[in-house]
Amino acid sequence: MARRAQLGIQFNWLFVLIIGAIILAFFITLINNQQEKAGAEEATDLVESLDTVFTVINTEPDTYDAFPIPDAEVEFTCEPGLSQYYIQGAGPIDTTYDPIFTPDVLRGDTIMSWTMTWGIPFEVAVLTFLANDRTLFVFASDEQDGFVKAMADELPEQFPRQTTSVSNIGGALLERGYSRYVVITDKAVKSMVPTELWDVTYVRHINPLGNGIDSYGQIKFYDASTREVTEPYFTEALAWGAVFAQDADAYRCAANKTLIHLQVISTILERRARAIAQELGALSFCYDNFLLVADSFQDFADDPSFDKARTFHSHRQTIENYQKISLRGYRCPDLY
Amino acid sequence: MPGPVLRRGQLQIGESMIVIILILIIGVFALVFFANMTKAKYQVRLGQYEDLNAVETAHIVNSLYELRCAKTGATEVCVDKHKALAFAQLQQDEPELVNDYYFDLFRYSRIELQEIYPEGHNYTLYEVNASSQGQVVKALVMPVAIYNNSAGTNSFGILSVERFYTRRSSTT
Repeated sequence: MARRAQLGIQFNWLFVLIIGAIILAFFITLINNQQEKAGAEEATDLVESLDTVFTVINTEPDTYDAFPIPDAEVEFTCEPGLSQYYIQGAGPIDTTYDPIFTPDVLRGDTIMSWTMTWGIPFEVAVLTFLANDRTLFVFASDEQDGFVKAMADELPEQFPRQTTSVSNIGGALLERGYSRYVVITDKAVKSMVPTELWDVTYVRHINPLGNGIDSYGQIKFYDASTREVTEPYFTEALAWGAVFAQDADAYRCAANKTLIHLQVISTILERRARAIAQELGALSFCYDNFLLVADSFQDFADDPSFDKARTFHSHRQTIENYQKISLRGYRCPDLY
Repeated sequence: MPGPVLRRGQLQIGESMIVIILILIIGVFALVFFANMTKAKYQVRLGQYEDLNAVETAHIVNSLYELRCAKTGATEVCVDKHKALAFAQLQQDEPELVNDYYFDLFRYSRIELQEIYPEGHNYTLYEVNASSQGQVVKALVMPVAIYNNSAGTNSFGILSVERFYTRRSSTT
C-alpha cells in the first residue's frame, strides 16, 4: 500500500512537471511571437517613415527632416536594373524612380534627410540626400568666399560640419565620434587624410568648369573602395548628390534616374507647348518660341542627356527674357 | 476493488486535471481576447493609413510640376489646363508609361480632373486597377482653379482622387 501511495505521489509530480513544461513552452512561444511581431511593426513603421519622406519630397522640396531608426539598419542598392532599399523584417522597397543619394548602409540613432529640386531651369526631379547623425561633413578650402564656403553655409544646420583650411584637414578629421567623414574641397587633398581614417573618409574634390557651383563641372571621388574616379555634374543639386552618395557608381546610378524624370516631363511639356502654339496661331509673335521650345522638349523626350540639359539650361536667360516680352500689354503665355 | 489510498490519489489527479483544464480555458479566452484586440487595433491603424494615403495622393497631385500652374499662375491650388490636357492625352496614348512611372506615387488609384465652370471637361489623369471587384475605395474631392495659359483665364474645377485597396470586400 505504501508503495502504491509513493507511486501516486511520483505520478503527481511527473504530471505537474509535464503540464508545467507545456504551459511554459506555450507562453515562451507566445512571447517570442510577440517579440517578432513587435520587430516587424518597428520595421514597418520605419518603412512608413521613409515612404513618407520619399512621397512628401514631391510636394515639399528643399526641406530638411530627421527620423529615428533605433537598432535598425537600412541598406540601399542602386545599380543598373536594381534599385531598392531594405530593412530587416520589412522586405525590399523599390526605388526605381527615386533619385536618392545615400551611403550603402545607414545605421545609427537618426536618419537625416534633405531634399533639393533639380531644374534646368524647369523642375525635373526632387533629389533626396540621406545621412546618419554620425557623419561629419568637412568643408576644406583656402578661399574665404569660394563655392566650398557657400556650400557649407547652405547645408542645413542639423548636419554636423567643420569648416577648415586645406592644410588643416588632418586636424579636422581628428574630431572623434563619427563613423563617416565626407570632405568637400576645391583642391587635391588625398595625401592629407590620415591613413588610419582612410576607410571612413570620402573625399569629393569639386572642380566647377562653368560659372560657379550651380553650373557644371567635374567631381573627383577619392574613396577607400573606388580610389579615384571622376564624374561630371550639372547644377549644384547634383554636386550635393555626389557629396552624399556612397561612391561614384552609386552617384551615377542615382543621377541617371533624373533623366527618366526629364523624359516623362518633357513629353508632357512638349505636348503642352504644341497645343498652346496651335491655339495662338502662326500669326502670333509668341508662336515661334513655342515651337522652338517644343522641339527642345521633344529632343529630351527622345533621348534625354545631361549635355542637352546643359545646353537648354545655358539658354535660360534668353528664355526668362522672353517670358517678360509683351506687346501692347499682351504677355506671352508661360513656356513651361 | 481499489484501496482508499489509490482512490484518494485518483481524486487528487482529477482535481489537478480540473485545475489545469480551467487554467487552459482561461488562457485560451485570454488569447482569443488579445487576438481580437490586436486585430481591431490593426484595422483602425490600417483605416487611418488608407485615409492618410488618399489625402497624401491628393496633395501630391496638387503639387506635381507636371500639372501645377507656373509661378505666374493665379492661385495656390491651381492646375495648368494645357498640362492637364497633355497629361491626360499621354495617359490615353501611353498608359503603360504613365502608370509605371507614377505607380510609386499613386498606386491603385483613379485621378480625374473635372472642369465645371464655365466649360465642362473631364480629364482622366491616372487610372490603375480601378475596375476590380471587392475593393475598398477611399475618395477625396477638392476644388481647384484651372488656369488657361494661352487665354489667361481661370475656370473652376474639381480634382477627384480615389484610392483602391483589395483586402476587404466592403466599400466605404
